[in-house]
Amino acid sequence: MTGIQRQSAAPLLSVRDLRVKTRQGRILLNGTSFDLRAGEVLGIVGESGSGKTMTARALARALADGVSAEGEVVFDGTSLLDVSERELRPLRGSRIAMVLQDPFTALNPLQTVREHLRESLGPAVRRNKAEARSEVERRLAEVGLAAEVADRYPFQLSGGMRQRVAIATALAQDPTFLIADEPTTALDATTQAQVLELLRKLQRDRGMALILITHDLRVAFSVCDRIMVMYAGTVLEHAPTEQLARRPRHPYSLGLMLAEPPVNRYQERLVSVPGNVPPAHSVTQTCAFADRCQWRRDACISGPPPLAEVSPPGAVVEHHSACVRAADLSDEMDAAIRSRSTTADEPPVRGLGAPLLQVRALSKTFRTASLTGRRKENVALADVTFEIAEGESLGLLGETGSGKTTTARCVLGLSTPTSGAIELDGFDISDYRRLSREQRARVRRLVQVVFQDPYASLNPSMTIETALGEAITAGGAGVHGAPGTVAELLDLVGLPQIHARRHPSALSGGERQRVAIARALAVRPKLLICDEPVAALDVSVQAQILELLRDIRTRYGTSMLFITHDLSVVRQMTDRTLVLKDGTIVEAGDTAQLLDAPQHPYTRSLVASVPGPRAATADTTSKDVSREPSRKA
Amino acid sequence: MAELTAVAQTVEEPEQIEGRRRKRPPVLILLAGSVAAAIAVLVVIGPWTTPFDPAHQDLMNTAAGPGGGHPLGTDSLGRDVLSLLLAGARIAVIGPVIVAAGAVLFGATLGMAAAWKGGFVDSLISRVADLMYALPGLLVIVVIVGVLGGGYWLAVAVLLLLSLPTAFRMTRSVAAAQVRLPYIEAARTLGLSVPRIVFRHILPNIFPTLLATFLLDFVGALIGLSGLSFLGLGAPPGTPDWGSLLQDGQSMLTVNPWVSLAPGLLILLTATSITLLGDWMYDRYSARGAQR
Repeated sequence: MTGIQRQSAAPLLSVRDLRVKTRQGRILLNGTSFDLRAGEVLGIVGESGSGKTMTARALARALADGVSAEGEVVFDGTSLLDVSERELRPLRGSRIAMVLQDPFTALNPLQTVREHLRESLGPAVRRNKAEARSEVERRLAEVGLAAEVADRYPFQLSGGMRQRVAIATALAQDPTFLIADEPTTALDATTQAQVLELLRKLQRDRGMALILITHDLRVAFSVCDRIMVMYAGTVLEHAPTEQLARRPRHPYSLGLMLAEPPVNRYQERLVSVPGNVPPAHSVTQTCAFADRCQWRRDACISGPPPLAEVSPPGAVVEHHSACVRAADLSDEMDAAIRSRSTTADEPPVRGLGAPLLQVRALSKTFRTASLTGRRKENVALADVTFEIAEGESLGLLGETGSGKTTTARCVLGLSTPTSGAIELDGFDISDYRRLSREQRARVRRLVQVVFQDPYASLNPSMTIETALGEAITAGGAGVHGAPGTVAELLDLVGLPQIHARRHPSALSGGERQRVAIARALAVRPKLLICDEPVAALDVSVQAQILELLRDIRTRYGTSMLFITHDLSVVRQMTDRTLVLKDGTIVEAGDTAQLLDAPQHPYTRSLVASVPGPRAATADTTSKDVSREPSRKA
Repeated sequence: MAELTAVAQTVEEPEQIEGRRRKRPPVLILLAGSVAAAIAVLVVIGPWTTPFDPAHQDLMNTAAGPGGGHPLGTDSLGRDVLSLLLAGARIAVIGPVIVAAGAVLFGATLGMAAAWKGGFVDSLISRVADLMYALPGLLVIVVIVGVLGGGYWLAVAVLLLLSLPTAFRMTRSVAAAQVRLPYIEAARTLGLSVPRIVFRHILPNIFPTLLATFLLDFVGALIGLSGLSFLGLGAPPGTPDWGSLLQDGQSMLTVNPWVSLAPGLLILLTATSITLLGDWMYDRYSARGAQR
């Protein structure tokens, strides 16, 4: 059932029926089996709660306290789950290594890059000072960093450089097997493309086996040979990359692929998978996806479906799907994938009204004064000018530190601009403190915001009802056309009424984000600022929220300012786009034109950095990365 | 790691919510709770539960051991030790309650102001708090109370003042963490008034810390005041008070050890119970806060 490759070469890693349980016996990972051969790249793709990280941690024997793994994990003849911690040590680093998601915490802030690398080199090299020195430099060069980086501390490096250092330390003893857990998720798009390319190159050069864990199908498609799709602690599909991309055989994989908003064209109707990911222990006796599946039959919930072979005749690499209806649904699924790759819709043309928001020469400088009197100035925004018309949706595209959130905070009055003017619907809101109480109350009803993190944007100690009720009261009774009751608000954002009396903790990320949107809409704002509203959500849920926001725009004609780093979000949600880099606008224009024919080199690099099928990204990273801007002390 | 915790959270939520309702506190906590409750009852009805008048001196029967109608014997003036203890609960607890309540009330207000305003206000209050931290607490009390001639209420006032910086710092740090969260910014964007944001949004979320601070301050003050009484700087002579009794009994350890032992045990028991309760409540409420 799991000998995915028909050739008989012994696998480097063989996993059979790997289960992870909590001490109380609750199942987190529900029997995973796969093989990995030397030089192969396996992608594990899944949303939060799918068990992908749990799998990686179980393989590396790095599970959290109170969680234990059982089953069989054989790595090159050693049974990893049975050996003692002591016997495991010589394997770690030298044979098996790991790269983690967060390059900001994975390095010790008190050690230089050189110390990190020297520590991870083998003891023989470490003893010889001169040799260690040249080895460190060689290793840095291998990950594309200049030798002088060796004497810097982590805080002096950019995120991409840190992740390169983390990769160099992981590879310092030339392991034969590397586990990379979301290695590029915390990085900006352009950096992500470079780091992925680096990983691929190192893997190829060394013939190393690699497991890449990611929530992003595009990333997996661009790097992996085979992909395993996980959901609620279960493997639902396991297929060669090409095969999965063209002919998925599980409704969930199909749903994930369709739910990804396309970058290269506008799509009139964003497809989403309804519902939320269930906890692993609740779906051990049925198909894990059954609850959200449009093709569900009784057979799906009568027992856990086996991962059965569905390969086309003559295939070299097997294709497995845990869908009992994979065979009868194959034509429907193929048709769905084909229709996706051909339709391109015309974005709707909307009549725009008078300018609603006018931002002129907006600048913001942060000053920090230390006790010793040394002042530091940090320019977050320099001379930013733009307008949003009534009913218009404007995208603000940029990477970390580009100033996009600062712009939003200035418009919202959470931050006061250093200079420049902001006018909203006739009010001068450059400085909220100068507004009279009455004016401020009116402005607050004109502009509202939806934040990125749905977990922190609701008060954990308030029920949904109280939170929304408060917003309604804040809007003042009788705001024309505003939804007047909590029930109406919940209805508007598509939440069932029973949520009213719940606390945010009982809601999923997507549901919380709906509540946050409902709260913003309670005062019926003319301008809605969306600050990365879907960045923290799972792919299958993102489209739900984007569709909801589109719906609101159509229904109320609300203007929107969409702040995002995600090109596909900009494509789907906005009429015009500004590209922000280091606090200045480098390009502005009609969204479709800007993305189809970017003019500024920076915009071009952003567009090029979207992970695509393998061939497309082959050559984005030949440039010298040591020139990447680094944070100097 | 963030991924991992997120997973654990989503997976465990539903059952923990049920578990929260079902789970009974551990035996030790029930025990501590009973002790605290018993002390609280004594504070209210203590003076009416005494078998003898605590002020009544039986000079013919001083420093007698347990027996003869006196379960814990009598002190150097022939007063019934048990009656003194029961009647003394009020004065032993009221002072610390005032200290803890005052410290949390004023400290939390200052802490909230510093966290909300930031900048100059924050620096100013914080530096004053630092300065107060630098003072050696016990020494200050002994000097001030000693120089001003002692007195229970003076001791309470000085203890309160000295407890302020801790309460301030605790509140400031937890409130500052909340102020930066998006839900507070969303409340500001809705145009809610500052008092509303403070009382409806911030306060409920830092409540566990305030509660823990209150209980720990209470324990500190209980021991502090007893110590001062022991040194003769607390309750005036003649009042039934655990601390003075402790000191009084010192000279009679061989004759009737209960005069010292009993109040000592009571202080220990009360302090331990409240500390345990505070610890448990903090865990419970902050875990729930994180859950919600």
